[in-house]
Amino acid sequence: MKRLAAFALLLAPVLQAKSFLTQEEALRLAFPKGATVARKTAFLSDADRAEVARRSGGAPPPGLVAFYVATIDGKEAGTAYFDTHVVRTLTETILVAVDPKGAISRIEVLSFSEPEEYLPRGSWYGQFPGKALNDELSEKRGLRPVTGATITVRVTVEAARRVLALDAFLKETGRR
Amino acid sequence: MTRRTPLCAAAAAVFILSSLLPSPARAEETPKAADPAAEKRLKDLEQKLDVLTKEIESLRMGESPAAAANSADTPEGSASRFGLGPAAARVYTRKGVSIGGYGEVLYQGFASSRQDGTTSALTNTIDLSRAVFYFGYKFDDHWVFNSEVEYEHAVAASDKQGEVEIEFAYVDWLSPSKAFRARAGLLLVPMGLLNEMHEPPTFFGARRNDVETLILPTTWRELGLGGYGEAGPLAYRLFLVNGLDSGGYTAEGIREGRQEGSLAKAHDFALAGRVDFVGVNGLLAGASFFSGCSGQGRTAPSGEAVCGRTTVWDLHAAFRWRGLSLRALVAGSTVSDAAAINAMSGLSGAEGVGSRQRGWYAEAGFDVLTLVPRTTLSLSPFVRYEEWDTQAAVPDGFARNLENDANQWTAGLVFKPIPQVVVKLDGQWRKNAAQTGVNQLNVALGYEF
Repeated sequence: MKRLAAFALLLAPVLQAKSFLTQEEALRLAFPKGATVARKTAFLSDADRAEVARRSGGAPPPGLVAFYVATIDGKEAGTAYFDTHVVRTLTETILVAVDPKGAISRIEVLSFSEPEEYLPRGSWYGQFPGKALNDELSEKRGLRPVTGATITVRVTVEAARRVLALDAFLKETGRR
Repeated sequence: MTRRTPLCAAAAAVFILSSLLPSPARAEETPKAADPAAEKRLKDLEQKLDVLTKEIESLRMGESPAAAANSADTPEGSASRFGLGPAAARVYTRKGVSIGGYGEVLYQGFASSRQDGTTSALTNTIDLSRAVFYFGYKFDDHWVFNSEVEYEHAVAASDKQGEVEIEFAYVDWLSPSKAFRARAGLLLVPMGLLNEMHEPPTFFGARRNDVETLILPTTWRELGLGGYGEAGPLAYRLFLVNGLDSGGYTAEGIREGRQEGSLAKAHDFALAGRVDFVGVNGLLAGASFFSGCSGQGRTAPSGEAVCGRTTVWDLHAAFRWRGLSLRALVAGSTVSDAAAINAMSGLSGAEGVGSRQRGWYAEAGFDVLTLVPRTTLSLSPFVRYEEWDTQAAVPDGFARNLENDANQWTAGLVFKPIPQVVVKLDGQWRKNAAQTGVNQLNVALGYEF
C-alpha cells in the first residue's frame, strides 16, 4: 500500500500536466513577465489579404485579424497572433509570437484535432525562434523536418510565414 | 436554402456595425459640439463590435460557443490580463471523425530476358495497387480510435486477386503525459522504417523496398496491446501481440505467417518493440525486435509440440537535411525448429523454410528543387542498393533456393507537384545467385490526404 501511495505521488505531477495550452497560458508564455498586453483587431480588404499571401507564399489570412501587443514601460515587447488552419481534415490552432524586429520569438500549440502521432515533438518548434520571413523559413531549407509528421510540419511553417507577413504588413500600413 | 454558420452570422454583424461607425473622414464632419446621445450610441456600437470580433476569434479557433458567450458577458473588472474572459481561454480540440487516405497506381514493365539471357516471359502490368481510407474518431481528449481500410488491386472477387483488409484498427488511451500511452486492437508491428509509415509520398521508389517486404513483412499488423511514449530524446513502443503462424512460412520467408487479425490463432503470443533516438530534428535512428513462438499449437509428426520461435530484428536510421534524404536498414530473423515446421507443412528440399533470413539496404536522394527558393515543387533523383536472402541458413537435410539470395539496384526520379501527390519513375536491376533476375521499369502515381 505504501509503495502504491509512493507511486501515486510520483505520478501526480505528470497526471496534472496539460497536453495543450489555453489561450491565456500561451500568451503568458509568449511575453515577458510584467508586460502589459492589449488585444487589437485589424480588418483586411481582399487586396490586403492578397498582398499578405504574396509575401508569405501561402494562403491568405482571414479578413478579420485579432492580435495581442505586449509593451513594457510603454516600449513594444512583441506581438502574438493565433492561427487556426486545417492539418489533414481537422484543425490546429497555434500561437505565433513575433518580436519587435519582425522575427518569430515563440510558437505554441493550443489545440490539435488530428491524432497526436502527427504532432511534431516540442524540440521541432524550438527551431523557430529568431527566424525571419525569408527563403530559409522552409521545411526544405532552414528548418529540419521530422519523420511521421510531414503534413503538420508543412502547415505550421506556412502559418508561421503567414503571421510574419501579416505582422510586417500591419506595421507598414500603420494598423498596429 | 443556404445554412448560415455562427461564424458567418457574426462576421456579417461585424461588418454592418463597422459600417455604422464613423470613418476618419466622417468623423471630421461630426459637429464639434458633442451630442451626448450620439456619443453614447457610438460607444455602444464600439462595444458591440469588440464583443463580435472576440466571438469570431473564439469560433475560428474552435472554442465552444458557450465559452465565447461567457467571455462576452464578462463584466469589466473581472476580465483577465489579456482581455479574455475567464472561460474564453480554452481552445477545444474538435471532436468527430477524421478522414484521410492514400493510394498508388503502379506500372511494371519487365525486361524480355533474365539475368542468364533466357526469356523472362513476364507480362507487363498496371495496377491500382492500393487505395486506403483512414477513419479516426476522437471520443475525448484521452480516448482516440484510429483505423485504415485497404483495398488492394482494385477488385476483390473470386476471379480476381484483390483483397479488402483492415490495415489497423486500434483504440489509444492518451494520458496527459507523453511518457506512457496505451494502445489496443489491430496494431502495426513497430518495426523498420516502412511498416508504420508507408504513404507513397514518404518513400523513394515506385515499389516498396524488398528488404522491408520480405525480411520485415510490411505491412505487418497483428492483434494485441501495449504502451508507447517518449522519454527525453527517446521514443519507444512495446506491444504484446498474437504470434506468427509458421504454417504459412515458405522458402521466401515469414511473410505468409502474418495473421493480420483474421481469426488469428492465439496459442502463441509474441513481444514486439522498438526504441528510437529522436533528439535531433531530421534524424531517426533506432532498433526494433519481435520474438515469439509460431507453432500455434501444431505438433510435429513425432507428436512433440513445436514452438518455432521466430525472432526478427532490425537496426534503422533515416536522416533528412535540406534536400538530402538518407536511409539505411539492416534486418534479420531466425526461426527455430525450422526442420519440424517444414515437416508439418510438407516442405522439402529447396522449398523448405530457412532457419535464418537477412537483408539490408542503403538509399540516398536529393531534392534538387530545394535549391530553388519558394517553390512547393519537389524533384528528387535517388539511388538504392539492397540485398536479401530468405534462406541464409537452412536446417540439415534441406537445400537453399539460390533465387532467394538476391540483390538489386534501384535508381530513379520522384516528382511532387504538390507535397501530397507524387509521380515516380525508376529502374530496377535485379540479380540473384540462380542467375534468374529480371530487370524492370516502374512508374507510379501516389497520393495521400
